[in-house]
Amino acid sequence: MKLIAILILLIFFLPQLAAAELEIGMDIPLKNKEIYQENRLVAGVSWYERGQVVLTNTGDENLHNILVSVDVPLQMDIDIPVQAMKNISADNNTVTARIGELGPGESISFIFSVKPPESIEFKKKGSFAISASYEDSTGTHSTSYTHVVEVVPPPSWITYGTVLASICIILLAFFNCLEVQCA
Amino acid sequence: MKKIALFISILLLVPLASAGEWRGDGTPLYTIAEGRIHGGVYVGGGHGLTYEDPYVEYFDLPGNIEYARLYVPVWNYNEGDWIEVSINGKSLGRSSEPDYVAAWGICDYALNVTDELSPGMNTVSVTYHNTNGAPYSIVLVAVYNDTTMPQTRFWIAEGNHALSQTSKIDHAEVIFKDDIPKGTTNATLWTMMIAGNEGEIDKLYFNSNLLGEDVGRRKSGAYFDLDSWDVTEFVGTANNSVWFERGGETYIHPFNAVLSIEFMEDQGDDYIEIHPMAKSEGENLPRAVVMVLVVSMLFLIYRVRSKK
Repeated sequence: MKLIAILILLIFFLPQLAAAELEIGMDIPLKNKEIYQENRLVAGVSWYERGQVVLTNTGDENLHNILVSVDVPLQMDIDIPVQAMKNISADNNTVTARIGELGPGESISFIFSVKPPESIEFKKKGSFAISASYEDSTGTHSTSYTHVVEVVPPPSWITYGTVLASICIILLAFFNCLEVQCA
Repeated sequence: MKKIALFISILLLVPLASAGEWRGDGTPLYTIAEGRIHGGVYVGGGHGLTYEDPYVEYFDLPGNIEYARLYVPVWNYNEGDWIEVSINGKSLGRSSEPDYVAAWGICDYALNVTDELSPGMNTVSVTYHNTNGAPYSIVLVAVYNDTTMPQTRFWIAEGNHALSQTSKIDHAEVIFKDDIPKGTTNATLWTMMIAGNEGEIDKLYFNSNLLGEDVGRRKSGAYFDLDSWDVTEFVGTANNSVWFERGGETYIHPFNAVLSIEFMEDQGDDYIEIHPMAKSEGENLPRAVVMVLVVSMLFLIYRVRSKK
């Protein structure tokens, strides 16, 4: 009897298990990770930083009519660079991308650029809210993802001064130490 | 005492080790290609120093490319470094020697890519070997034919000229030689500069008309500025020129100036003329660098002698 119940449950849930899924990921800034910290934007820079959204179909059937919108935080200006994927637009603080079809196991990505705030007093966090709707054989679905970044103020004169003072102290200590040895 | 001498020597050598050697003032911009064509000129690129590897840029091109030149400016060139450019997945092979190099290793690789491009989206990627350095950008200049369009006169100037306070080089000029008939419908100037700084006020002129101040301010990416200017109202009837003024910049490198002027009426047959490439000018240390080295050495000798 138990076996029959499990079998019925499996049959009942099988379509749900096999249902297509859309996974969302994001990478910002698009820079060498060994040099630049991930998910950190420096305020006050004069250029736009690139971000990349990656969509992966982790299910086993085609997804259609995928509509992705990215809400950009902190009212950062948006620019859409020339890229392989088309049908990307920016309006106010939202980036919108349309993808016709995405096969099982396939990934697709698009890039956009944001200009970090001109100045901030203290380090603050911002969230890129990404939502996507898509269709498969079972109907229309939606999913969402939030990507948090840290926006930090640029190095101030206090920072530079501290570094310079530290170097001077090290040098003084080094020379004094040598003088003692020489004597 | 020996330790002090060693320490000072290390201090003196640190900048040389990190930024390579001084490569001279570079190559003033000159016209590499010019002509007349029914069609237009495409100029695009991006996106600043990011140290990505591969470094990728996309170009959405019209059909019928008649001439195309790809530029890869790179920071911190040293012997043994290389880049490898691929267009739409096809490798063009490794390039070791840059075509233009200046200052502390700011260099430019210039490639003829006319036959490598396709209409529509093109993906250009650059992988590289460079300790502490990386591409500043990938820039494409392409001349395309379109018989439905008016005839356009164009000039493509390239180089790598280090305008710097230390070298006392304050400006650079590019002259686009030829007579131009009165009444042009549209004229566009594109400029590309490397290593400009926000707040250090440089100036850009076209035929003595100020186009902009603080043009080199890293707005197209880190240390990278690519601009287009509508210069229709400033076009002269002969030898139009662009003038890069260093102004308050301690250091800035004009790399490209491209001018296209659309005619109201045809001015003769279409043609494209390719000029020979100029070689990088010889290396020479700027006076200020020599002075610093001499003073440092004198100080070192003084310290050594006074301790004896």
